[in-house]
Amino acid sequence: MDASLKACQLAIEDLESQGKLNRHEVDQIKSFYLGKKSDLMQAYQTLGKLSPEEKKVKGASLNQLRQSLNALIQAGYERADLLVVEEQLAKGEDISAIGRQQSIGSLHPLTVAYNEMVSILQGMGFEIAKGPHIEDDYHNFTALNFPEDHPARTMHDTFYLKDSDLLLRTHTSTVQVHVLNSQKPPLRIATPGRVYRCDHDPTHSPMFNQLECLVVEPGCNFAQLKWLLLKFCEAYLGKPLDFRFRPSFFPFTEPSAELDIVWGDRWLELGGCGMVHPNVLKMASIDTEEFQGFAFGVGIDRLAMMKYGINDLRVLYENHVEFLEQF
Amino acid sequence: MALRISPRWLQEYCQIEGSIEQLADYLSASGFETEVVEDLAIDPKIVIGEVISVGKHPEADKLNICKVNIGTETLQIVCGCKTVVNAKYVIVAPVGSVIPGMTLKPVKLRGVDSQGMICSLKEIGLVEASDGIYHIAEQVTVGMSLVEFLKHDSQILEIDITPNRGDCLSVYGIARDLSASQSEKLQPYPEGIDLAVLAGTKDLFEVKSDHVIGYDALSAEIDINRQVPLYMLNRLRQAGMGVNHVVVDILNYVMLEIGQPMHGFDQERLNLPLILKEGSNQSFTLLDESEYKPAKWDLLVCDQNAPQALAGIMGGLDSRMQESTHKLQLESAVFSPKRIAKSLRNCSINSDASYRYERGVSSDLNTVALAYSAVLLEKFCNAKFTSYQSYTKTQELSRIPYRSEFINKYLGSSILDADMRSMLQRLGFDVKDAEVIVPAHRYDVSQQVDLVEEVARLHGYNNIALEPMQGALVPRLVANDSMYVAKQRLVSAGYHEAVQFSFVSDDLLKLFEAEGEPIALSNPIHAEFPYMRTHLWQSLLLAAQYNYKRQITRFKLFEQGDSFSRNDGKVLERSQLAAVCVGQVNTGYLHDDRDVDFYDMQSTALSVLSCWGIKQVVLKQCNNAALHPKQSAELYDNDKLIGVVGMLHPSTLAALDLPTAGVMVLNIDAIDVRSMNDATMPSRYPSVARDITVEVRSDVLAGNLQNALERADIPYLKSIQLKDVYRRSEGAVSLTWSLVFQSTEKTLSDKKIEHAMALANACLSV
Repeated sequence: MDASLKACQLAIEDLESQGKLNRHEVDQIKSFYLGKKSDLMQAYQTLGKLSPEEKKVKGASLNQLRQSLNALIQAGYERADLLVVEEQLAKGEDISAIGRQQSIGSLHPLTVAYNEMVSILQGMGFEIAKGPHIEDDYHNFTALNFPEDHPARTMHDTFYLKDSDLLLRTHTSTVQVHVLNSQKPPLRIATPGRVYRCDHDPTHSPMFNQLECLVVEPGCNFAQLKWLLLKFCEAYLGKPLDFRFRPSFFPFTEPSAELDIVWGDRWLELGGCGMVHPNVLKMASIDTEEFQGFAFGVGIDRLAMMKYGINDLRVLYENHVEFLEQF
Repeated sequence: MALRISPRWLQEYCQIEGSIEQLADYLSASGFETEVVEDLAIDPKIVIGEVISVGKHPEADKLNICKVNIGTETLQIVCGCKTVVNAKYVIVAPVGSVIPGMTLKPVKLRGVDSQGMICSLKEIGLVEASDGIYHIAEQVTVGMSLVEFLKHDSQILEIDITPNRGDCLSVYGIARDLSASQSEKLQPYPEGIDLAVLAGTKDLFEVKSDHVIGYDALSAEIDINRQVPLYMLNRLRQAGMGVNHVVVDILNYVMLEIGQPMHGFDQERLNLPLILKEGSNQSFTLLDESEYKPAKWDLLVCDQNAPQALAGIMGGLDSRMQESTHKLQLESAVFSPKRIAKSLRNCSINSDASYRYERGVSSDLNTVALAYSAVLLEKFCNAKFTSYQSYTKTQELSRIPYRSEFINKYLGSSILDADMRSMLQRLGFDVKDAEVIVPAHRYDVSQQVDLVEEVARLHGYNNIALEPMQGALVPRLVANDSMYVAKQRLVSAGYHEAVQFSFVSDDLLKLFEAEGEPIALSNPIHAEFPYMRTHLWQSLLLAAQYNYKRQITRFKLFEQGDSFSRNDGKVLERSQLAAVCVGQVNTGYLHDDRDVDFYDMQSTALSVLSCWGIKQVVLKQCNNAALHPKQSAELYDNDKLIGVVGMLHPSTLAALDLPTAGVMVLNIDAIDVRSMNDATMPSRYPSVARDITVEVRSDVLAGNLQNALERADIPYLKSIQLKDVYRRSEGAVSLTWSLVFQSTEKTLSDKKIEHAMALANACLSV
């Protein structure tokens, strides 16, 4: 009987030495030593012919053998499982090699700036309003207190459509006109968007992005306007700013002002603002005794350039992938 | 327009202490953006000299040996200019002085010592071109430095005047505002001749238009062989005005100094009296030699025969000042700014005069200016005045209510009433109890808010404290920004966002056709890009081309923006989201380095569309000429065309000089945003997966079959996924789908599954 135990153990060891030890092979061994046709099972068959005494002795010995074989085979299984794990563990990778790299794209810096600015204003309770890029003279000029033929119109290098009175909006103040004519004050709105001017050099782009804010409510004043514009710029640029407000001129505001801040070693013009001209409010049938308004406008491109240290506006519209992938 | 003037000139009218930078700061802070700019540097060693004697050079015919007194000493200067024999007072650059481009050193000319140079204006840098040395005709002090003589500043102020401040387009105008803002004394207007003694005639002109607010005419006889004094020439140069006829120069100088444009007619070319009227049937030639056909609203200065000037804008060629003119008729007029502006918008002629007239010239200025210019003409052209006629339309000065509370409320300030009154008085307003009378030169002040600005300006914008805004809290509704999510999804897929100009060329329009008529600009920035894009591919592919030309051979770009077109005369702006993938989809270790194909673009589009809640689209063959005819598809949602995906046609690639590229566009406006359905609970019962394979002709579209399966109402069918497309032969393909069945109520029996599979098979075998 020891012989079959030994043979079984040997068979398992042989398999392992030949590198063939796996669950399937162990199954085969199990079937050979413990299966219906195995010697052991045959031996059990013969028990019936024996005397009770002999049966008891023989039976006990067979049972012991079966248990021993079972233990051997179980160990074989465990060994086989362990070998599988060991084999898996033996397979290594060069974990420092960069493989199957996922290239990630990027949002355009102007979109990043736009999203950031919009979120600042939304956080302060401003509604975002949008409008068409192709406009008529009324919305771009007349309704904003640019009288017909007035030289102030020449301040804007306007693109006109061929064979048409329409034009490309030169500022997003056009959206304010739409809002003033369709909504009732009090109003706090922001109008970000593309605008067009017929001008192209390192500091002027024929298309750029503006963000304007409009507040119309009883008693709003110039001191609040100064606060709002400054706080907006500080929130976007992420730090307190040295600033000054200068008188300026826009037909749609009176008084009008320009905000300069210290950037690097010099004063930089950041945005225009002013109290909405009563003519503009009156044209939208708003009672100027009850309501006052103020507005400011900044260049999204300009602020983004400051934030990212870009000094040539044109790079924003060249869309060189090597420039874009930084954002 | 920027006014370029020397600080010294400004200080003649408003004596303000301080450096030029401080002056610039004062001006900027009161609303005139001012920069300090470098002008000509003139060496103080250059002096006025008196030529004492001129002798011939013994060795050279063309050279003269001059003795020139420069006050401190007498220099020997060898001079090659032949007019030096007639010279008395000249500009001398002695040895050691610097003129543009050279430092003077002692030299010997053909053996004779020369201790300096007698200069022409060009050599000093005062004019572009000059012939020979300059003869000073004015009174001089010998030995005085040229800088002093010219009252020259080597740094000058460049002052930006906003369109509302026509009253500040002169030295005097700036000085007037500066004196108010800085509380300094303002000098009066320069003195003029007594015109009253010449008045009386009615022969010079006749006014027949309401838009003439004031018109003065003065006739004179002049000595034409004169020149403007050197300081005047220098100031005109600094302002960027050319030098031409002496009378014209003097009139320009007066305009620059006090702001009144004037015109000089050659009186002998006129058939008097002049008539000021609107419109004419007669064309005439303007000073710039262009033929002008007057519009009916144009203000014209006509003589008895023909128009002689487009009033306030440009004079006529025929009666212009010429070298031979010795009788002249001066015009100093005020016209309605609106009327001049209307003419200007229509004729597009720009002049220094029209620039001022359309912004408003003060109605009390023209007589003062005429009298002052007469003084200068008398002095520098030896003018004799013969007759004078004046017309003034009576005009009421405007009155505006004044309330200090209103001003403080508007500004959020607490400025004292007395301070406000003082500021307005300094600005020339006549301040009454509850109103102010606006001075004639302030065309821009007509309402209370204009007074608010004046007070704020003089008080100082920076002296108004910041006031935090307050307001009720308004909760913002949660809204999903699908576009933002879609952009992020593209970014995750490796796409870089581009922002392109909306302007495109004719070629690009033809390459990527779109619905509607293109919109052209009448004044494009570049002639080859005159159209607004009708499709985003037109601009996005330009960006692709730009990158590919710069050796970037594989990249992914997307752009979101509007496309523009006209449909039945109506302008349409459509929002689009477009993407392009050029070259290999992925590269590097463990990637298969394959080029982009149709399915890359398709999966990108479907993934992006899911940001709007769209889970299923119908793909149809597309016949867009820019795309590969068999590798492109239209995307439909509920029978609405929401996008196109595909590979670019080989000829499109050739036209753009690009390698393999796939594109996508989504028409954002056409997408119906799906709101999110109520959530469903996962089933507790097991699912069963079965594959189904069907062999079909190769022109049968898998998508159509799958749509049929989806619509066939097969019981317990939970999902369908295409697993394989196997090309058996030229004409046949096997399509395999994996179907998953599951019930939410029970474990499915084999019988139920078999029944469902039978339905699926029946659906596919049609």
